Amino acid sequence: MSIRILVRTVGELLLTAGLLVGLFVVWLLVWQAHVQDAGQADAVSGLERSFASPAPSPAPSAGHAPAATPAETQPKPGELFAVLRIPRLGGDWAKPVREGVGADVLADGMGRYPGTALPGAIGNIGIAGHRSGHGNPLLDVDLIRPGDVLVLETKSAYNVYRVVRHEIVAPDRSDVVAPVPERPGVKPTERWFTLTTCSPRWGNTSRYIVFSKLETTIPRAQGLPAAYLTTPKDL
Amino acid sequence: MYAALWRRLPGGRLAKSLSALALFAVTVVILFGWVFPAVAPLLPFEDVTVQGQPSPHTVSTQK
Repeated sequence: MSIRILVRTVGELLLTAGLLVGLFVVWLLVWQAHVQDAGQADAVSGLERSFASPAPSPAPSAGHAPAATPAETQPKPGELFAVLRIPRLGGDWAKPVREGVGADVLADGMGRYPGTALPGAIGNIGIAGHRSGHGNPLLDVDLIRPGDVLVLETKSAYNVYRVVRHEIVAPDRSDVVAPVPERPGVKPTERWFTLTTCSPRWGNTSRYIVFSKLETTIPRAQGLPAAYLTTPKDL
Repeated sequence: MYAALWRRLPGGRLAKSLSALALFAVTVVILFGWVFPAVAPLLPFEDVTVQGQPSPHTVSTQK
C-alpha cells in the first residue's frame, strides 16, 4: 500500500515538474517577450518625444543662429540616451539604448559599454543586446549583411553606420569593442560601432559581433532620409 | 498529493473545481510574476557582452 502511495506521489511530482517547465517556456517565449517588447517600444516612443521637444536652450541669444549639432554628452549609468534602428530587422525595428551593460540595463533594451565612444564620435561605440529572451531584440542578428544600415539616433543627430562584417568570437574577446576593433591600443582615426549579442541563439558559448563604420551624421533638424529606413530586399 | 488537496477543498464538486482552478491561477501568477523572472538570469542565453577586462584602451573618445 505504501509503495502505491510512493509511486503515485513520485508520478504526481514528475507531472508537476513537467507542467512547471512547460509554463516556464510559455512565460519565456510569449509572456516575457511580449511584455518587454512593449516596454521597449514605450521607451523608444517616450525618448522620441523628448528628442522632439526643444532642448532647454540657454537663453535665446542674439540672432537666430541655426542650432548647430550640439555635442553628445556622456550619459549617466542606466540613462536612456539613444535609439538604435536596424532596417534589416524590420522598417520599424527600434530599440532603446541605455548606458551600461549590466543585466538590469539589458533587460530593458540595448546597452552601451561604458568607456566606449559616444555615438558618431571617433573611436568605437560598443553596444550589447539580448538575442534570446527579453523580447528577443537581436534574434535575427545573423540576417544582417555587409552594407546594411544601422542608425543610432540621439537627441542631436542621426548617426548612420554601414555594416562592414560580422564575426563570431569567444566571450572574452573584449578587444572587439576597442577604439579600433580588434586592435587594442591603436589610436583610432575612424568612427566605429560594434554590436555584440550572444551566439548561438539560446546559447552563450560565443558572441555574435557586427562591425560597422560611420557613413554620415545627419543633424536632427534635417531629418533622416526615409531611404535609410527601408528594409533591404536582397536576402 | 493532489488527491489529498482535493479532499481538503470545501464544498461539492463544483465548488472544489472552482477553488482548484483559482489555486492554479494564483500559482501561475506567482510563477510568472516572481519565480520565473528570478530564475531566468540563471539560464545561459543571458550573456551577450564580451568580457575581459573592460578594455583599458579608452582613448580620448569622450570628454
